[in-house]
Amino acid sequence: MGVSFYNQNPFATPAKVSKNHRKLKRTSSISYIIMDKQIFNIGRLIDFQWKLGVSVSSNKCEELNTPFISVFLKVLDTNNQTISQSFELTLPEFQDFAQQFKDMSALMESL
Amino acid sequence: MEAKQFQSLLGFLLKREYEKDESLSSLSSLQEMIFSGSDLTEEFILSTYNKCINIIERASYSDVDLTAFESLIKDNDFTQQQQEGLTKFWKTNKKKIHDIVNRRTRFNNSLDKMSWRLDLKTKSKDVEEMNEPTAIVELDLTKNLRSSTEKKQQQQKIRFEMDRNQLQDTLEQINIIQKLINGNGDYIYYRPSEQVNRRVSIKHNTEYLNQSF
Repeated sequence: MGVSFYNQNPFATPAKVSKNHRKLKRTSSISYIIMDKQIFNIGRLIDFQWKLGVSVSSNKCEELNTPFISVFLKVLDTNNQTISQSFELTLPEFQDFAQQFKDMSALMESL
Repeated sequence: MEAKQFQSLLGFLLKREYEKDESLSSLSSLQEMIFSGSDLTEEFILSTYNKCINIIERASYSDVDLTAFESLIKDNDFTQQQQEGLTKFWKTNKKKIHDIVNRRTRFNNSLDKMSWRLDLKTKSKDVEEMNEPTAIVELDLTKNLRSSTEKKQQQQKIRFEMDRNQLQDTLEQINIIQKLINGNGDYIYYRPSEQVNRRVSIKHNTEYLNQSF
């Protein structure tokens, strides 16, 4: 559970997982300590699935032809309950969503 | 009807029918706002308004381009001045109307707001020293139910934390989506065979690849 639980998620490639495992072994034995001690958190992301599609037609428009991205998230909350939520993004909304993750990642790298 | 008044009428139509401006729900405000002091009858104004709605709905139904739109309005009895006004309106608002029409048939939740914060965990009750960065994300979702009375209850927040690896994994997925959107179809997917759940999930994620758009 904990950190490694997410690493076994469906989208991590084996190469990535083993790289992470190596990294964990090498640098972050502290991660294991944290896992063992069960530090609380406000919810842990355990799955991130997505689907890219195109809306073709609707009753209001026969030529919709608009791409969309569906995102499905599973979060393990503080009571150890799994919450699943999905939402849909248009392209501009997705670009914004993506940018926020990029910003977060860039800042985290600098920590 | 003056050209300026006709433009305002189209602006009113966009706000009322598409942007769902609630202050404009009554059609009588159309006359008060745009045609006060003019001697046009209410009946005439309403019939022009309805004719415009009709033509714009037809145009948005087929998502016609500007040339097709021009020939579409030629077939209806609009004056030359009104035709110019409508063409100008379609030129600026075609995309906006298309987006609104698209959004109206969104049945899944939508993401209203995303907030995040980066923390550095330094110490806890049981761990003397640690130095773990963590990203806390909060997503505000709205359920797209048509009933306006339920709207308040239908907002939901999800909060979660991600450590460095989780954030990287998630970002990797986001990059894959962006590559697909940008048309780099040659992105190679790794299909692991040893774990069934992985295979199913990745297949699920790629089943839309065959569609061209």
